[in-house]
Amino acid sequence: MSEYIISGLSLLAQPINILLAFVGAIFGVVIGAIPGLSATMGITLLIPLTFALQPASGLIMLAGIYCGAIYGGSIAAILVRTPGTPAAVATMYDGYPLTLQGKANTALGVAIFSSAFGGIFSAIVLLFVAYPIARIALEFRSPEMFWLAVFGMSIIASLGEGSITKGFVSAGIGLLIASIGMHPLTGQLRFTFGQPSLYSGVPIIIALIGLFSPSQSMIIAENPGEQLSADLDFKGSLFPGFGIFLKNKVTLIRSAIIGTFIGAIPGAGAEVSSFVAYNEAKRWSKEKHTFGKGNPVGVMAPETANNAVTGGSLIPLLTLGIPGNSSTAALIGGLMIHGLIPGPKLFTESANIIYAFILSLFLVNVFYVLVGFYGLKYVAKVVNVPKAILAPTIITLSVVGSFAMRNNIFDVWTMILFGLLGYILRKMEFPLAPIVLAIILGPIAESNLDRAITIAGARNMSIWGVFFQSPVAVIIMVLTALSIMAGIYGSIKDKKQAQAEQAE
Amino acid sequence: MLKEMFKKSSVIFSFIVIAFSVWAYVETYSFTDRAARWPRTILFFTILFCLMLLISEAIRIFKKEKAVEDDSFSGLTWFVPALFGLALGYIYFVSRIGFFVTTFVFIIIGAYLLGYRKKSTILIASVTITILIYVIFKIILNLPLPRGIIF
Repeated sequence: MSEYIISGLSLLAQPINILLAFVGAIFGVVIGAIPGLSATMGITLLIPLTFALQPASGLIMLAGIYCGAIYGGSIAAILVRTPGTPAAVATMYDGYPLTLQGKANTALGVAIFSSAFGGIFSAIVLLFVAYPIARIALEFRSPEMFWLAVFGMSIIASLGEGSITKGFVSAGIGLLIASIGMHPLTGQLRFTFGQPSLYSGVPIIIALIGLFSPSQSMIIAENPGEQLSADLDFKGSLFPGFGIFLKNKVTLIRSAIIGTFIGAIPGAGAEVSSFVAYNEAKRWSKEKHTFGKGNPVGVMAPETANNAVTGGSLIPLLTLGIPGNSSTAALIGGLMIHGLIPGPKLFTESANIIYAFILSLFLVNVFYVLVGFYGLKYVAKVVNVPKAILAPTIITLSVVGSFAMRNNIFDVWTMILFGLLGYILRKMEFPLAPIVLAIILGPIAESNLDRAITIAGARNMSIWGVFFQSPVAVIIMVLTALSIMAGIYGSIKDKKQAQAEQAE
Repeated sequence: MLKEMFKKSSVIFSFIVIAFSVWAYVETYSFTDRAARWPRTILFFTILFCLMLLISEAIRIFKKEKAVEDDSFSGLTWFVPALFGLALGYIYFVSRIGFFVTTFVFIIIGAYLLGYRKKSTILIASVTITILIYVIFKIILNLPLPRGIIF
């Protein structure tokens, strides 16, 4: 493993890659700071910029965007009580009261350094945990890979946001989209409507851009007149001093562990982790009553946790090919465009690129601290960007991005159709993450199932016989069943809680 | 009850998905068995989950439970269809007229359509965004932009 780390480090050390990590961090912080634009949207919108870059360079820039955007979400949450990204909702609870007390600099400073701590902590975990998992996963064959893909989809659908049934309908829609084009093994054309551009299926990047970007600009357009106004005249140093971190080191470490762990479980993400970390910080605090009224620890906990999700969520993505949340699903698009198929083989076939990517997480977590520390007053201005200008700009970027991939206007039409679909689904509270995941995992599931059936035929066995012959496949099947049951249990619990609240 | 159900957009959407799935299922009969196996399985489960959604909605209305959320599209303003229509027009013209002029005009009309009235800001934003995208995509990264009769 050490030789891979060294080769990754030498690739990362190239000046262009360091520059791109910095550019990515700036883009990320700016996108995260704009209310309504999430890390996922930032990644999808800017993936086209990586088309012309070397794979490692492109991924390093995307790492900057991912981590920077998660941190950037805290800026608007603290200054104007509007979370820049959903992951920053919990930051708002204590961040904004601090602003009202004239301590915006404390809140912003705590957010910057806590985010970096969480990000670096999770990057260390990723660095040392990913390789052993990938080694195990390398032994997986068709039955295991099929069940792994099914597990990935079921866990996102059942444990993700929204109702479990809607999650599964979303996954079904995604799988149908994934079945457009040639059958992976026989090459038979399916659902192509005679369009040659669809013969190789719907490109994942096109679907990603469409589902997340134009749909977001339509959501912004619902209320274009709403104008935020951040007071950027915050006084005092952004450096809160080491004292606050040393005094709350347990909270810091606990939140980082929560974030990394939740990030590594497919289905949950930065949003969930920040709430859990906030609640835990409050639960263990001796000053519970100060939470929600401007306690800096209430900023520290969610900000550490949501950035700790970044490294955690890359563990299943890089080792098993299962993205943990929609942001990492978008990152898959960035990997695939450079011919890198997520999964354990990355660690043998493209080890230097993957380690350069993993190691770049350390770098970007330092870079956005620099951006936040020295450039916050300029970056924070984007909070005030008029929505009426933002919405058409997002559409423009989506159009040029989807065109740039294959120099094909048909892709742009496909993208905008996905935009409409994404908007309709979001309005009806159908989660988008299962669709994206199904588009990615559908072909993996289908081709591996097909192979497993062929094996079964050759051995004169039933397909279930082949599945049950593999202990790993059985374990994944059990986990799949458990995730669905946990989802059903959760939705029943939520429903009862909603009914109880209504009764009150 | 049926009338009440159709007031919910997710019910209408479920019916659309079911109808599309049935069409796609019939379509799979033109594939070989091997190529049809997977889509048929997916379609079966998609229809099943849509039916589950419809049943849960029917039960909710039958029990006269208050919906957890109001109908999703009830607060829809004309801004959204207007922006979407404009986006379709933008895509149509960008490949005929070209990136530069179409983008410049699209952002101006888009911002104006969404109610923004500071003309100088719109103009500066439109010029800056168009040039910035051109410089980053075309000059720095050498990526293709839609071309047309003008630029």
